[in-house]
Amino acid sequence: MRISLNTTNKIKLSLDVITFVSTLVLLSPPITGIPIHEWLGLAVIIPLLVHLLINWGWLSSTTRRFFGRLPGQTRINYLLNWALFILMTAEGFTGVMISKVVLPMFGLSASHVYIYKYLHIILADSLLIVFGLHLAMHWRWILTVIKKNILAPFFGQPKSVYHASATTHSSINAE
Amino acid sequence: MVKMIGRNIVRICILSFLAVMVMGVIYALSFTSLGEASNRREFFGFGQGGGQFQTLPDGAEFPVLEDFEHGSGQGQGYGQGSGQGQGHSRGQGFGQGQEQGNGSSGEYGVGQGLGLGQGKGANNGDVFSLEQGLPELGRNLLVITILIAVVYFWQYLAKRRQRISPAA
Repeated sequence: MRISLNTTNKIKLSLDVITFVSTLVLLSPPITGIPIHEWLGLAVIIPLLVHLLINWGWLSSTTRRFFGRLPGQTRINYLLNWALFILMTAEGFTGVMISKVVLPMFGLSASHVYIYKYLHIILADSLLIVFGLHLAMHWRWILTVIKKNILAPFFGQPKSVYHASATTHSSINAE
Repeated sequence: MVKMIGRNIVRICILSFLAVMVMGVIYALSFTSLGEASNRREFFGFGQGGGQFQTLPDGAEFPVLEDFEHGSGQGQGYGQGSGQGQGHSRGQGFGQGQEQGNGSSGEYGVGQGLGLGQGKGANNGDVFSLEQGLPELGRNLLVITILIAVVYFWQYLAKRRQRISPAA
């Protein structure tokens, strides 16, 4: 079964929008209250995992070429992705450790070690910065996909699309 | 299809392994002095208390320390929990107050009180509050917008530089 590039981009964009909105909401817990914050935090693992799996090709090829010849932007992007992965994992783990709703539901009690709470707050701010940078690095791709897949059917094809080949994540980063 | 599923399972295993390593580091952190120090921080509180004031009869000698009666008072404590709008913790504080007075008929007294107070963190994180959440959301969006603008400009400059000197 072969999926067209447009469909892949649409799936990617939908996933990214879900992840973006969820992360924004997660970074402001009073908007939802703690129970939704905790459940949403767990649920967001799925789109994140799919996002990583979809972009696995770029990840593995960049890992192999990291110490070879690689454009500066791609290198920065790769390091940002690592930082984001570490921060998200740490944020999730500390969140689970101080959980007040999810853990008790499974008969477990939250840790009283304060460092988890402290880290959860500190990491959230760092996560916001790295998340914003990650988004910013892919902003051109996001604009292109929105123009081609969402705006074009209504307003016609845009005159200049950011590189005809820039419809895939990897081509942007390998530029 | 089976091959693709298998490949993705292997990838998920790799990601899980990496995630466990990150979690391990954080878990280990809680056993270090940093973890202990942060624990002490949570339970530290301070407060102010007012004691009962006791007067001495006219002509009485200044009381020695044993004659003091310790009064009990009420104080207010401010918990130093997580604070900054996300505090879930309650703080307890102990306060001590001392008062000295001079009466017009020559009475004077000394009182000492010990106050015990309980305070709450600035915010209770459990509470759903749009009033508090929306500004936070706005701030986050602003940060992201600024970052996008900065990176976009940086990419634009890099591209322009490349166009001017293709050799670079």
